[in-house]
Amino acid sequence: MTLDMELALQTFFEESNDLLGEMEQILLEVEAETTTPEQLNALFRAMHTIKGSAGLFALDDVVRFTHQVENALDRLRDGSLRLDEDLAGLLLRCHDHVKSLLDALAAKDTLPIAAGLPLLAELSARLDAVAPGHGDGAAGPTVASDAAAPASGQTASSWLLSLRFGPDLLRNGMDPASFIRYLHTMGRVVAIAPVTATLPAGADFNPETNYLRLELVFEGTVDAGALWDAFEFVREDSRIHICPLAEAPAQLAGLLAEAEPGEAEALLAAWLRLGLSPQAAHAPEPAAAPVTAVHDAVKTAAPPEARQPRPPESKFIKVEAGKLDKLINLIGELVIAGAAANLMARRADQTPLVEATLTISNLIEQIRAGTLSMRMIQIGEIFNRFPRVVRDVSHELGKDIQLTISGADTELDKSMVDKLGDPLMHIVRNAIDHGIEDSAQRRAAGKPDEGTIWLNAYHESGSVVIEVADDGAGLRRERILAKAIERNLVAADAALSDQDIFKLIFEPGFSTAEHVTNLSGRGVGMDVVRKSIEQLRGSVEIDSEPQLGSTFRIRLPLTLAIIDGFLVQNGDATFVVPLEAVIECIELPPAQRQDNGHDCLNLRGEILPLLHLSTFFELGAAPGKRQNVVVVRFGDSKAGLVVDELLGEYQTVIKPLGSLFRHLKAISGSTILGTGEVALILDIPSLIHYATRKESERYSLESEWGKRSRSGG
Amino acid sequence: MSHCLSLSGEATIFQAAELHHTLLDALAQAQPLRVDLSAITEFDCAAAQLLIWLQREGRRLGVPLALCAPGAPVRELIALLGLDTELDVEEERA
Amino acid sequence: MGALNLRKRDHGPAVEAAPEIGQYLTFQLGGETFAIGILVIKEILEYVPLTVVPLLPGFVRGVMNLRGAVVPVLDLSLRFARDKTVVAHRTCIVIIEVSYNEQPHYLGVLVDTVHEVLAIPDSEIEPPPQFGSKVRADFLDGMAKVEDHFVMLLNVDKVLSEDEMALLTDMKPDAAAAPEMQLETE
Repeated sequence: MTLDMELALQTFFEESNDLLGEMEQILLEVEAETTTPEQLNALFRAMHTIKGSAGLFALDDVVRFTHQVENALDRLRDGSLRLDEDLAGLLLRCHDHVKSLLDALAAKDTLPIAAGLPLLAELSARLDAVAPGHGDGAAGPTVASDAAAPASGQTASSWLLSLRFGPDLLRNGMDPASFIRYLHTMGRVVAIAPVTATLPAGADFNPETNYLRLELVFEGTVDAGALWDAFEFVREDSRIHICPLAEAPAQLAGLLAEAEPGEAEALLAAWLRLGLSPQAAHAPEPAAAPVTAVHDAVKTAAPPEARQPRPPESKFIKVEAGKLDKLINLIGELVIAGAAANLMARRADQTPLVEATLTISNLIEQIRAGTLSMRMIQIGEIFNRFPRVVRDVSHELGKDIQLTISGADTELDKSMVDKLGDPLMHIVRNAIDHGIEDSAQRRAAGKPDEGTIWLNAYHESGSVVIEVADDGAGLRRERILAKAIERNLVAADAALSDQDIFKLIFEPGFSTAEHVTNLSGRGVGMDVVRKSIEQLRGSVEIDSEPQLGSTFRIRLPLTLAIIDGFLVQNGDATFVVPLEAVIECIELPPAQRQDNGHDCLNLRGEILPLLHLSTFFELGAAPGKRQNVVVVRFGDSKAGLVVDELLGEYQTVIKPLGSLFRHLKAISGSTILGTGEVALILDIPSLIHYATRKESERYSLESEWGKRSRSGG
Repeated sequence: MSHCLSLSGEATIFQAAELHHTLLDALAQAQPLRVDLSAITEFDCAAAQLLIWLQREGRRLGVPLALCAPGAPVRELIALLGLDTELDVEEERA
Repeated sequence: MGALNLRKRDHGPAVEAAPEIGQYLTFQLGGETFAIGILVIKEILEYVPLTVVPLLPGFVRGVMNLRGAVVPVLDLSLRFARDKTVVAHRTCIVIIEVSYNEQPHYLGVLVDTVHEVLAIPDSEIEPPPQFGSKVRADFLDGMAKVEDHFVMLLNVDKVLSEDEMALLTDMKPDAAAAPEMQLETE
């Protein structure tokens, strides 16, 4: 019999983290404008739910701390406290502390209790300064027209709780005692009576089955919702009944009717001990306690609906990432198998079969697209961390910086999002630290005191582009060049474009900051940033203008798993050109057929540099009878790849070539064709870049050679 | 001669099955049994249920049985859940 | 794809129960006999045409499709800085499992002919000579005396060292192309 304690605890950690995230989001938003009752309620509910769940797991330290925060949030709700910037800052620090407590628990470390004491003291001071209920009501919730809005609970109310815990309660890692202890933190358990009538004798007794039922009277300044929340985790297996004490007598008959056989007597005896006896059913009297219409909702056993900590997300399903990956792998194999089937059908020259396999391939394509989209998440999920980061860091550095986010709904593969967080974080920190000048400098330059950082994302021809821009002082070209020369990264007389110079900051150990603050100099250099991006098969470019600012632009492929490609043949070898890079294909005019590497084509008035794949790859094959040109784009430029045959569009799974080939240029991976052969996938930017470099080296070698032969050596 | 059984350490859901066996064995001896609870360091509802069951079994099978010397953990749970109506616990030690 | 654990340490004791006798696959390469411990050998295949991967040093002959996985195939002879293996009708590809970054990987190596599996007791194995052998000393685990000739036991980890090979692939292949230009200088 396994206990699901670990699993339940895991769920608690995950859900609490979600709630904390929400809380932080709201706190950052409210700083800017006025707060709404919904926001204050959401803050309260977040802390309240965490406290309740922590109570179930007997995490007393968490309960103690969150309880105080909850008190403060309650005052915010009822208007006796106003949410100013200081309080928001305090609450953010409390949020951080709760997070650190939970993290420590998850990692089974010692809890940083001491860190919370000053926070508790501050909270106390705040709470003492304002007696409860003294709000001007402006920020407090109004009429309790939705079941979630609690009554301000100024007076104590009495309740009957009939707790019929399910038989698997103990097996599921829970204990009736913890619920009761929790109730004690919310108020007073006036009287409690256990009922064990269902406990069997002899061999029928199972030591891990729960037979305990509890009937109790509770008194506290709470509302029904709060009581319901306490039993959130057991609502499904257990029958929980909560009603105001005054209405209890009328309810007992119903409860009796629902009881287990043999329980009736024990129940009656228990209720008697609580001072209750069933009443003849008649219209319930108006409750004696000062309750509002909210309590009507409690008459039925159904819990109020509005208590979901995460409102609209019920349309999402949590899926284990591994399962999705398996599915995607299978679909990848399906794509290959589909292509093979289609190929065989074509070879057998069976038209109906060819059509049938094409239909299948179409369906496979739709499934593939759908499955891959399951892995896509919005980049807003990482962008969301940044408002907090920008706020904290700019406060720390005494700079005034605002963050503007756009394109947060741009989607990319989940695996990329995980790896993108750190590099982005570093670039943003860099922008704040070194990019944006302090207010004095900005004023001197005629800029507004407040600096701006932009985070932007969009899709562009099969890639995701992410931009981090700032309106700071821009990259200092001369300084970078000087440093690079000093470090022997470039020759003193090298002719480098601005882009090349800016890219030097990605070299390991490079930092031109006069003083490395403990922020950017954390051991995560720009070189690690570049590596991380390259590992995602991406690239990063930098635009910068002195005084105007800089933009870091990261380009990533949309997906890592499957490629839409264009097959080309060169001699015996087959290559795949990523379809998103292909602009058009044309036949190579016979007049242009040459063997060497530097020729061009006049493409409707444009000069198109040509790259002969066979020559470049030294494949050694003689050019075929006809040659074709695949016009490809990379960045803003175009080039023409000269190949023998064009084999058409082909969609297939990318098989990485493995770490042995990690330095391989121009090839980004391989794939298996329907024939079973392996075809290599071209990395167009890398191919062009490498070819360009080879060209320039060739020229310099040739000119060297020329010099020497001229000098007769 | 009465048989004394001392329960020590944790008595919770994790030990419930084992405890159940121990108690079954003790009952099978058909000797008067005193169960000393003073050394229990942790006590939950599963254990409480076991004791309730044990006591009832004692009566049903006619084996004289006494639960005694409850330590703080046992007392606390009994008080918390009002279990004094279900469990008869003596103060003196075994 | 396949089992974890490179050296199959958990199988180790069972195989080497008779202490100090190892099982080795022997094969022919460029006229010499070599051996590799069988624990790392996954499969032996007849030669299949390989997809050549451009811009790589010659010892990477290409890649092949092994039941849906793309496996690189190496020419050990070239790795040993000797002549390129000529593909003949007895040429085989031996698939070996190696561990890179604690992940299992498969590599194929070209051999001229595959001989039998031999049981070689440790007592028959001598340390490799510091110099004078036709193969780099650190590529060898030792030399074994079998009947009346020597068999070179390969140190698979070193021969198929990912770091070393990856580094080699980074070197500009056109360093090889340049010599024709250098012929007449100096």
